[in-house]
Amino acid sequence: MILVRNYSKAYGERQAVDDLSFVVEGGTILGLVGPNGAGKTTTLRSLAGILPPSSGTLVIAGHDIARKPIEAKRRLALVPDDPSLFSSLTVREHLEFVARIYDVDSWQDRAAVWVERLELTEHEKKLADELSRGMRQKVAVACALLHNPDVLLLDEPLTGLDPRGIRTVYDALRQRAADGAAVILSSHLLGQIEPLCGRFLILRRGKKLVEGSKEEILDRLGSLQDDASLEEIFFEATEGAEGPPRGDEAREP
Amino acid sequence: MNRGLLYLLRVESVGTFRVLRRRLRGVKGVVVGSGFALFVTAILGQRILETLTRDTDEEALRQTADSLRIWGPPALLLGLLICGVSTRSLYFKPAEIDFLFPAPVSRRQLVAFNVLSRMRVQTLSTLWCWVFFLSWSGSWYGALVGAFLLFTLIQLTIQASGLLFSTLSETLGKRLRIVAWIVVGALAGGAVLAMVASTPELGEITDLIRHPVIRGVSIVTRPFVEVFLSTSPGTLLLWGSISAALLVAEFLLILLTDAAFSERSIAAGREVQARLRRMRSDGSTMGASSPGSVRWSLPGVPRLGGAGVLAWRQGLEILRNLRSIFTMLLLGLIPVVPLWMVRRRFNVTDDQGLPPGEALGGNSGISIETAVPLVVLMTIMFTQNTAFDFRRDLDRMVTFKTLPLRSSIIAAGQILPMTGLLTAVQYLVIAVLVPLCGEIHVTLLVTTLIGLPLLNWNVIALDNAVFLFFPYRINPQDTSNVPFMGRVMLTMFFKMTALGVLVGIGAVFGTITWMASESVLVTGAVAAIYLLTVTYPATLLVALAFRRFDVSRDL
Repeated sequence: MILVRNYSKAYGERQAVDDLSFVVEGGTILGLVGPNGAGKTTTLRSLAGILPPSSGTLVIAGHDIARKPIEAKRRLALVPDDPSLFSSLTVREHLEFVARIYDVDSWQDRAAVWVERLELTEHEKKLADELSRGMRQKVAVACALLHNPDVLLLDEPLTGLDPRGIRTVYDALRQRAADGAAVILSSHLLGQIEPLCGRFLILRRGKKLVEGSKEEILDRLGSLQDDASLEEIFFEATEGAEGPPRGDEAREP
Repeated sequence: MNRGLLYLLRVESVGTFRVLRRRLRGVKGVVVGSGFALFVTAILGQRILETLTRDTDEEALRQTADSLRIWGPPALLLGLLICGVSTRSLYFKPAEIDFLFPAPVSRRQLVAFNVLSRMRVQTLSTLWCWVFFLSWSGSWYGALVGAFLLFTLIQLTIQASGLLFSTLSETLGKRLRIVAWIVVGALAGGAVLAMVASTPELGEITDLIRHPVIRGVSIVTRPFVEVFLSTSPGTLLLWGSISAALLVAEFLLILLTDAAFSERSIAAGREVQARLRRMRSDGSTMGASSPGSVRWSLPGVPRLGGAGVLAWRQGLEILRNLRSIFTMLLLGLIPVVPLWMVRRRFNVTDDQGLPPGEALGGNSGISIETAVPLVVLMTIMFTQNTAFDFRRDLDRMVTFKTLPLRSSIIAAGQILPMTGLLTAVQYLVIAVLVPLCGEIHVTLLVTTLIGLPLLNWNVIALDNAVFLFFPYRINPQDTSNVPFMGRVMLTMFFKMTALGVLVGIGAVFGTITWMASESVLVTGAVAAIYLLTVTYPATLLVALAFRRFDVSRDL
């Protein structure tokens, strides 16, 4: 469903992602973790067709994002970190706009479900500027789920959400995965994403350190106990990796 | 075009008015709205009245039109070049990047949407400029259509330039921009120098502008000037059609380019957002420039009940933004220098028929009597664009509210550094100007030196009070400059009205004192005492505004 092969991305002379390859099958939720500047956001943005890769191939639901961007984008949704909404549009209008741009028929019923589940009902007529940070995040999630994407890319989607909101988003992601979607979830909240994700990919300085299910990673690292948490795995993988932490972390220019 | 994009264009248009309506709710909204409406009506009324009652002398109108035909096309071309060179890439709002870039729409559709979206935003600007163009245009419809076509041309040029730079590597783009800026600077500088070197009738420069090469190059902008000057529907239709055809051709060229712009747009958008965020926290246009790398520090100052500490903190902000302040001062000098040069060149005389300065023994074209009002005017202009006080601290109001200090102390601590900065700049300007002047009127000079810090304190207090009573943020997602310009004009209006009252009362005292004593020294002393007396209630007003400031409101 998501295929990344020898993907690299450089901003000028700074190498943000270096020769990254991985596959996310349909029905899988992949946790993309790594320290700040590891290249997580860059990878998600390239997968969403926003940033062209410097080299490599990115395939979304069978469509190369560079060669057939429209077909690929029709099947994906991205929830960016700190999503920006249109300040003069209401919540309802955001949903209608997304429904139209993705050509979703009878969107009202689907929208009503997400509006209710994400507790946006009483905010439907509010302008984006009148919403709190968490509410804006919920609107972005509702918009992303509206067209039932085959590929879901979420960059720190839990920031600002209340406990119920987090649970609702988790349930929604599990449901989409159960329906066959491939999901990539980037987050620093390791304890929270651990029970949600079936597989993990740990990045550092743009390179893949380790990938697989928790058990597979534990086997590969070897130095941790079987009941080690994702947080312990993360520190073992990142701080045990060669080379000191980089001062000038790669980021978009 | 994708129906989602069309929907977005439509609801954003409706949404703009909805936002405006919601902002005008409540007593404060009504006050601000009424003030703005009055202000706009006054300006519009004045312009329309001036147009209706303008001189209908055919010969004078013909001369104006002839002059515009000569100067208009090359000036417009130069303006377009500046717009084009200033553009790094296509600008998209953060929400547009988040929603539209990952959406299944083609690059061409995005570019077309961007053009239409920006043109929608510029509709208000078009109408606003139309009123100002009326005086010089051939007809009201020529001015209206001309303004619309002019803004469309500027917008398309910006888009075309943005796409062009997106196709180039960053290094090549940067080099090309430097070369283009040198060319533009040479053209603009050449025009100023030619004007200064020209005869009072501007003979040489007119000949230069009429040179076949300049006329040939600026032929593309001539139809737009002719639309503006059209005096009949027939000529409007003819030149309007030619202009429209040029615009369509430029639009098609943009669509055909189909350059990959997303990465460069994100980078350019991030810069714009960072600049807007700085302006948002500054409440002034000075934040548009990034702070320098200077890391000088200030020695500790007396606590002064807490005001000294606040002033020290604000002083550090000033120190670390000296580059921006210096740039602002230089920019302020740009319109003054050519004017001064032209003034000298044409030997403008004062009331006694003698060139300024020469009457007093100098030969610089400056006299202390003309320099003092200019320096005083700096108080108004400088405080509008530079804000090292509450206007810069909108995001820190919660911190200020938690300080264990009296509000009047906080107000004083916030006003003091800006007063010091402005006074220092004015003293510096005076120190530069005094040697250029001929005979020095010592009493006037001393009175000015004493009065300036007091005047500055009161004007800055006024600025802060207006800001705290009617706080405003620049919305980082707002691409339109109309709300910001509206805000600037409105605060200027409030400020000038309050200042008018302040100066009016002072003038009454001054006149009475002058009539009684006929002494500049005594009158100056009374004026200084008056300003000093006003300082206390002005500071208390800021303290009151600070106490009433509601931090729970997300502006």
